[in-house]
Amino acid sequence: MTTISDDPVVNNDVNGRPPNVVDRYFKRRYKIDMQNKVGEDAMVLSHSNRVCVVCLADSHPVLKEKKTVTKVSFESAKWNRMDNKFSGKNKRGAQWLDVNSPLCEVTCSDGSVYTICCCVKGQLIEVNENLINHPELVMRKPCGEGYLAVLLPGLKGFEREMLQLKSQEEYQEVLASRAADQT
Amino acid sequence: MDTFEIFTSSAEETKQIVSDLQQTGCCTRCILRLLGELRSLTYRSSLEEIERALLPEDQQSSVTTNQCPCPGCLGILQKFAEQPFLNTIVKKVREDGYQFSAHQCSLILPVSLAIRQKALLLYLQKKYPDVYKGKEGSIASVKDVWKWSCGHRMASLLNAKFQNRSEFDILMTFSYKDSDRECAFLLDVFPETFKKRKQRKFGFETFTRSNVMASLQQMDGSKFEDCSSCPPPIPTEDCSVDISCSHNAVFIAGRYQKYSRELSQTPWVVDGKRIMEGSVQELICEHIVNTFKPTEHRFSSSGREDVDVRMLGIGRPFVVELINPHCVTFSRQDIADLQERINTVSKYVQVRDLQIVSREEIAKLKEGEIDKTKTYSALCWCDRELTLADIEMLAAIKDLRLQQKTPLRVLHRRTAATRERTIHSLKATKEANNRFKILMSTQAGTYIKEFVHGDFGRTYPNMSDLLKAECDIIDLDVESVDVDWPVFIDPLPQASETVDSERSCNSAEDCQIKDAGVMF
Repeated sequence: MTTISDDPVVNNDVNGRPPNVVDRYFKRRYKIDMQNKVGEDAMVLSHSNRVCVVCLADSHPVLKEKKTVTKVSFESAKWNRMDNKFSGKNKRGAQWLDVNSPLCEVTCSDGSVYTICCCVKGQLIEVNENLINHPELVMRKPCGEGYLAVLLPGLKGFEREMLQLKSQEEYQEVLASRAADQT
Repeated sequence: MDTFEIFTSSAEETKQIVSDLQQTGCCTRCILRLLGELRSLTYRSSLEEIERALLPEDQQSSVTTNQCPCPGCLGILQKFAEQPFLNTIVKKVREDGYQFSAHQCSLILPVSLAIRQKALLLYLQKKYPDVYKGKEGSIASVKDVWKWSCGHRMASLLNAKFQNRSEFDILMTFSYKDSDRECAFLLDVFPETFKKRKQRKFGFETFTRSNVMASLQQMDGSKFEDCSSCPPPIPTEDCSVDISCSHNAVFIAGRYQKYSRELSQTPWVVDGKRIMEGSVQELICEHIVNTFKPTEHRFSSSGREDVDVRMLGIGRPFVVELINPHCVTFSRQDIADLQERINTVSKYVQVRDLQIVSREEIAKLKEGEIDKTKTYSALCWCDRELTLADIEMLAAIKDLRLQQKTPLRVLHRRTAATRERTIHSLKATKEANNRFKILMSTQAGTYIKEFVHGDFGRTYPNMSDLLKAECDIIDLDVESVDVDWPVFIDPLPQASETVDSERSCNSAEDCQIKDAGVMF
């Protein structure tokens, strides 16, 4: 016969703010120095079901220097992430992208342009089309409505993709050593 | 010979045909069916009675003592229609331990029997053209004659009605070792028809009933006689037979309530590892399976709730398909008792309205997944205190259309799409510590958690958009799944506006009301 614990589940923190959606469902991982440009870091939120949400990391110049994003583009002369038709549960036909494949370009009011890469090898499931009309979401809610894209690594590749990214602790160490270098 | 209804009315001719068929080695029942007798009652008579009426006195023993199987039925109407074999069937049925009040018998016969039947008929048509011309369709089949001869005897042996269609089936598969060899000539005549059959999906069987029958239809008599002997040869060996029993699936339906936030609906197993002990499905099915003793069972329900979501109110309709059940005869009280037993398994899962339903009815369960409404209550959080204006604004919502992208948490297994879903109505009440409770009625298929927290803005509009403040969901309960199937048996709780998680009781008085029949 099946047994279940007799204690009813209670929320640990009955009065305060409940843990938010990102912390409840996702693990934070980081891709640092995208395309070898120091400080251009991205955050990958990975769900236990392999779904990965790509966002800007707090240490990325756009957020760190509090820039104003004026444009987010998912296409260039060489690639187009908007042209991504697929179907069915298996997402047949979705673009398979690599860690360093460009995902989008973020343009700021000071004229700087940053290329964000995919950070994980996997199928491109979604780009955040809201950003085209509301690029400011990238700064306002970087790990919420300002997410960049959703990727799905393969069943076998998921573990490997997670290992090639930095964990929260490793990322903190990188930030600390960067700070040390500057002084 | 007025005891029979046969093709010829001449006693002399009948005698001649009987004698010829005896020469070919045919058994008494085959002789009778080849004479044209089509009335089932005639075959109920014992072999001795038929022989007495059919055969000249001096020959009555010669057929019964004939050791070789009949070329017309391969012994199926001989040895396999006699008492010792029927006893074998009964023994097998008893061993399998089924409970039934009626039964049917199905026979799968060797394919080459069709060739033998045609050969016998051609032989008779050639010899008695006036009698047998155009009679191809007027001869009783081996299967029918077996059932006419044995059905009533099986009924009394098993003490269960014999029916042409019954939920309980006794299947006899007869195999004859020379069957393929006797069909082999068809390969040369119709190479196109038979070569394609060497595929897995046909079980590598070259000759099947349908393709052999179709080929025989196309062959004229003279061509057939060139390839196959008429009359057919006397078999040297008996058929072998395999007996198996099965019972049609039985469906048992009801509604379940779930009072735990740590219990999944179906067993939660990833890569062969159990993530969580127990499940609604297992808690419900344990006693049902022990009662009906099926070889397999399948649980399905009108939608599903997440592990951490409770299912309150009068519960969610479900059905368990019991495949090949061994026990099926239960009274209303038996089912009520079964429900009681299920409800003692765990206080976290309670079942009501348990009943046996027909296969046709279960479609209603799935309809509920698509076009019915559901009501939920959710404990939510907002980063500011709700104002009276907020509560009024939410109460004014009527048929709010959401654009809902497939939630991230199910995106790996569901098609990525943006789906329109409707929130029919919404009512919020303020609680302490930035919390508020919402009671809402929505279209089936709406993802409620995502409506509240927004899922990275992928559900639009969401609660944060409506309140223009960050929102999140703490706890969710399903209050009702508005499907009026299966029929209500247990008393319905008093209608009340407040959300009450008290389970409905199942006291002795309730059981009496159950027997009073359908409520509502």
